[in-house]
Amino acid sequence: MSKFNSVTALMENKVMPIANKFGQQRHLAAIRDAFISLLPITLAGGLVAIISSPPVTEETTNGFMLAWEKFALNNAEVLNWVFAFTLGAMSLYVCIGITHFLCRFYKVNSFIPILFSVMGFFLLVTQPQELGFDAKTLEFSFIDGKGLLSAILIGIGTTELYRIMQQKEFGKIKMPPSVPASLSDVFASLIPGIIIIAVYTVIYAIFHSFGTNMAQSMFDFLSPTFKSADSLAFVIFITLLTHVFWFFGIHDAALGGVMGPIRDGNISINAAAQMAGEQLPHIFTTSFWTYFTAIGGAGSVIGLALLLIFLAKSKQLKNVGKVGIVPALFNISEPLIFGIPLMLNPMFLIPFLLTSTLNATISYICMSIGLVGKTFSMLSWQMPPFIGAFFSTLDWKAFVLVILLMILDAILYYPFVKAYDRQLTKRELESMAETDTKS
Amino acid sequence: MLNILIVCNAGMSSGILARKMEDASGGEATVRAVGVSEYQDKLENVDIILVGPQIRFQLNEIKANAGTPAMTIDLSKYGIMDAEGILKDASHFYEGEK
Repeated sequence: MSKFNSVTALMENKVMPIANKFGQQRHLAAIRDAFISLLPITLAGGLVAIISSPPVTEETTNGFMLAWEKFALNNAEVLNWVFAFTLGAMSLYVCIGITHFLCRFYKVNSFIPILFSVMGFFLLVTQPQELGFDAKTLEFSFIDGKGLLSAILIGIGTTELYRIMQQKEFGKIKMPPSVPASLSDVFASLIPGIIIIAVYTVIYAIFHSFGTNMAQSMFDFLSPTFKSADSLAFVIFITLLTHVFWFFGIHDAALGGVMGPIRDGNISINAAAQMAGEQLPHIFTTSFWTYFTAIGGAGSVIGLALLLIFLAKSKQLKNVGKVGIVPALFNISEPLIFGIPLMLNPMFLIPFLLTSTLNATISYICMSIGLVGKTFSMLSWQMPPFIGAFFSTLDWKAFVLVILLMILDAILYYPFVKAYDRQLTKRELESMAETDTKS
Repeated sequence: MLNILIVCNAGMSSGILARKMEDASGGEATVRAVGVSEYQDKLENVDIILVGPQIRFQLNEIKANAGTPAMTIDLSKYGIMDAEGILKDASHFYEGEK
């Protein structure tokens, strides 16, 4: 027990400040916040992807399904166009978001930097095909998840350049005091703007002289990393790491700045593949995490909550289960983590780390051998996992898989719940006996 | 009238708590829950910030950014969504800060 306490102390004193630093690192925090703000766009894009993919086969006879298929076919062009500017344009929105949130950190008005970021984004992430007087064509297939790294670099680069020049009052044109503040802001950004445009022009020209562009090169450069991040080993590693964080009661937001681009980028690429009727390239996506790994929130607690409600004799545990079950169905596990508590409770360390890791492993294998469909849409973090699993894959087997995993999680928790319940019931009886003797 | 802002990771788990607290206060407090990415835009008229225990490591950052008294919510009270207890802690803390 004392060993456990010293590990806890080490965590609180050494690891927590690191997590803290990591979580507060301004660029990572801006990336994290930008991805959180994407939710409405990911939802809309996910809906379009679902509407476009009716799960019909040649044997389908169900009237509704056939009508759905007909609708999707007849409106394919409209749906593809809308998709192209929701999930399919994720990088553009991330670039804007990062610029905005980083400016807020520096307490700089974000409007003008956002203009520069968007300009840099179009210069470096899209590629002109034809620039005639009345026919301009743009190749913009990199504005989805494939252009994320470029988008992040452009957002951060623009903001940093802009605020450094602003802080040093570089190129500031002095206006007489009678000029309104908003106007003198614009004048103050004239020279910084020209410099930022010059930087992006040079970058474009360099890549262009090699016959490529920035987005393509960044994507090629990073794709080995993204491939290895989509492996079973990495999925197990990141699941364990997240749950170690949560075991110490720390939200995994500190990882958000790194995980967001990988998970959300993959879902955007999968959705684009689904819209194009191609094989889905990625397994590890945001939906994979929400619906197939952390089933009911960190600790995969839905089965656990049911055990507490129906089996626990301890009043405290039963009560915690009742409070925790509804949030858990919507992937919120904090009430159970803090209420049982699972956090810092050595008795639950093993099942707490194991359940989600097993969920991820089994789901990963099922998807990679093609038993269960891969995910291509992300509707909401707050959707019950078994429902989300169905809608993110449109495969009924995904629904079954998640139900089975919930049962497996409950079985894994069972012996530990039993033992802990016995301990608490004994304590409750003792304290009751104490109050009895006192009165 | 006490104006309370709860800040947690995405304003989800604390959203449940916020409603319970408002009910428990009998009209004596307004309680809103927001995510850590947006709290800076919701600070108007806020008397006190309660930080969700899962992001307690951001307490100092939030306190500094907001310039408002801020405290972390007690872990076990958060766990059982003890709205009354948390409300009591909050107003006690607020009295102390005044």
